[in-house]
Amino acid sequence: MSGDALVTIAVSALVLGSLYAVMALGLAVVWSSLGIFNFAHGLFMTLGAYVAWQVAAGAGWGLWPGIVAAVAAAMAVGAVACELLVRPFLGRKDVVLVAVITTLAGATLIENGVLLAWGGRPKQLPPLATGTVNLFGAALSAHEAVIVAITPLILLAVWLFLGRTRLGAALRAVAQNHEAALLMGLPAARLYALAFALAAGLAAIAGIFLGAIRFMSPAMGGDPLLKAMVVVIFGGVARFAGPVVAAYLIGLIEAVSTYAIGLYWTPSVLFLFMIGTLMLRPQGLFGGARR
Amino acid sequence: MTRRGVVIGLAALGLLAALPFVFPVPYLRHIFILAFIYAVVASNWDLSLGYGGIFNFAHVAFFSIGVYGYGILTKLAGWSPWAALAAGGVLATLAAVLVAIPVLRLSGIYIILVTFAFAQLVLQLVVSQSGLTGGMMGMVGLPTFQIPGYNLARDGKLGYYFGALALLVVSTAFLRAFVGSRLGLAIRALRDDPDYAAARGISVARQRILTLAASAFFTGVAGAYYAAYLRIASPDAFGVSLLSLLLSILLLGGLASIYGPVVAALVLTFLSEASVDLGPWRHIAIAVVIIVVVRIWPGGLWSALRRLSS
Amino acid sequence: MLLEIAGLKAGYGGVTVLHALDLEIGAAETVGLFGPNGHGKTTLLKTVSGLVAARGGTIRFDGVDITNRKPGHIVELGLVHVPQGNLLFPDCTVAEALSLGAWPRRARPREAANRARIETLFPRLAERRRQKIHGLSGGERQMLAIGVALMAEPRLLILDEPTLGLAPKVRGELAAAITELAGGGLPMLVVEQDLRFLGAVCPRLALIDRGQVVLEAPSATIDEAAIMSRYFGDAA
Repeated sequence: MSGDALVTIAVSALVLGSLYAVMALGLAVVWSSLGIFNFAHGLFMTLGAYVAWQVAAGAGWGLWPGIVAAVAAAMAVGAVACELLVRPFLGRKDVVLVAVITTLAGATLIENGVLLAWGGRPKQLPPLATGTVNLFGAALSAHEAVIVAITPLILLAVWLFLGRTRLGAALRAVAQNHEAALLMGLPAARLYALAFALAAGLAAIAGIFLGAIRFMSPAMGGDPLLKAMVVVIFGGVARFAGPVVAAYLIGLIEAVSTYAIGLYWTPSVLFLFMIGTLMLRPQGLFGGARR
Repeated sequence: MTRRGVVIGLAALGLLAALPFVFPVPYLRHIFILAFIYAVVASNWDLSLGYGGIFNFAHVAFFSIGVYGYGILTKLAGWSPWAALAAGGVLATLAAVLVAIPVLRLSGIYIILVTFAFAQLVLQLVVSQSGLTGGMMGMVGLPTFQIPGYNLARDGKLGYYFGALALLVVSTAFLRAFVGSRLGLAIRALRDDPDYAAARGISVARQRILTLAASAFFTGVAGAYYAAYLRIASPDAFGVSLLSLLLSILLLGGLASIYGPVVAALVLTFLSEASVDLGPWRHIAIAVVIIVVVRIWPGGLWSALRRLSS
Repeated sequence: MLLEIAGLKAGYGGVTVLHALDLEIGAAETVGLFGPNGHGKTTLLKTVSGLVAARGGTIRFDGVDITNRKPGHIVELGLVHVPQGNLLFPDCTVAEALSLGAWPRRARPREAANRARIETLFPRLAERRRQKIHGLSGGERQMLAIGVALMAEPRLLILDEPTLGLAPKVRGELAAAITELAGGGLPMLVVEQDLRFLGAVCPRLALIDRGQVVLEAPSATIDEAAIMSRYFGDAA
């Protein structure tokens, strides 16, 4: 393998890892605080990309207002999705199964809503930055360079929010002991909605990342959701670092596998890694969920 | 089964057998054929999900494996359609055993994620191996069943109608027998109290493999039948819309009831086909129905009806 | 009256636990609740704090009807319940839990002062400020649970078996702290099995039996031995 190939793989791993980290973190926040898996998460990404496109390209107001609108819209839809699709069923014995069903239904709703609103024709977002950047001899687009650079900042911001603010602590507290949280006056319902909104906002950012790399379609969130799912299984959700480290690791595996054996067999490789991890460490590489 | 149950069952069967002669409309038969097939798939899913309590989301993949197994074996390997029909069931069963291996040690949400991922993996493999499967375009013009001297598609699809009905009857009888057997009891005991069942010497691993394998066979056969009837195999067989339809059939029918999903399949296939022209609105309607049903009738319509009548 | 409970009924599923229970707590009073297990003490407390739905009767706190209000609303009014064996939040630190205790709006202005007061009352919490809760001993966890409740500026503090399952030495520490709080004028409703402890902290005791208050009397007049043999068997 030549040096160029190594750099290409490394760059690709970083871009994929960034995308998956932003996606998976949202899934992990919802999973660890509500104990459910949100299958509508990929559609928050789709929705974010389309709202950004509408504001930036459709209305021509520029990319930054588009990003703000996308994150805000996704957060609002996320909070509503939590209220309608998940919260009525919390406390039911079969909540894990019911939440799969209702969030899948929610995903169908949003996907077809997007299809009705924007049609099925592929669209593309303007990049976060134009031009190319030369990195150790490999050219990568400035857009991808921005993704790689700002993802750690986004992750840091979420980490600070969860770990260093009272609201973040409340979010973690309600996940660990619902009754004690209620008795301290924590507004559990609003905190659950906040967890969903935070996750949806992150997914919208991932959608803006992806919407300028590939073409956008109503189904664009499916594949990143699947990868994020592999990431949270791989890394576990007990610690903040779990899904983040796993995201970059999965990005690396995918980049190596795509280079070495091709795009088509890469999903199988990832699946085998995931199964292997689960067989050896059923709660993920970095410990598991408490619920 | 109670005597009343037998009478109702036979009456329903008689009604369904007479129906194509009372209403000789091919389109109606077409919808019924689809409904019978979906009923087989949904009621077999009920075996693993409802009776076994295994959150298996690879069930749709078992169906698709039947579809593509039939397509590849008949078109590329030159098998006879009847042999390929049986092979569809066998291939789906093998896939179920494969899925069962990682599922053995897992519980709850992890089973959902692994089985869901498995289904997606099969889909991606099918799409990527376009030399075999036709990729995104799928396979068309598949060979169909031949009985010497009679084409099943003639007389307004009459042959396919009765074939699908027979498949449903055989599959339902199999499910009833399975659920009522000692094995079926062990499976339910395991679902309701895993620790107790394990203490009584019921092997979790063995029951899970058997349940998944048993739920896959007729699902795979139904997939092959579906492919033979429509003469196509397309990636849509994996799609979320089929998954949603099957889920709403199960939910409306109620888990762990077998007959519930069968009845719900008939109702929902009609609604679904009637709303084909609505485009995206159809999927939105199905999604809303699912959410509302889960909210209002947690046990499904079947159990709500039973509660009303008792 | 600070707390007025009249004709309260509550239960779970098909089981009724509280049968028209009446109880009143005066403006600066500390009342002890006792009685056999399974006769409704914990259910009563949970109904008062909004965790269990009342099926009849009313609960008034400082003149406000709080029957079937949300727990958050009740805490905001100043009625704070420390549940039995509270595990709190294993992955949060002691400092985080205390800061979450000051969640109610009316507790925010005095957060720093309250924290200082609690760390004086329970010096061990000050030492463990940065530690995660899952590493605390049972006694420390109970101290933290009370401390978290005090951060909310309670006007009535409900303690459900605060010394349950603790070693005698820690029990002593907790009992001293609770007595100090009562002495400082904080009204309390305390559930305990240990009648001697309860009598020392609470001037008035109420006996709950089969979901009703069957006896109310100043603690000095309650014949401990007779009640113990009647309700807890001779072994007690």
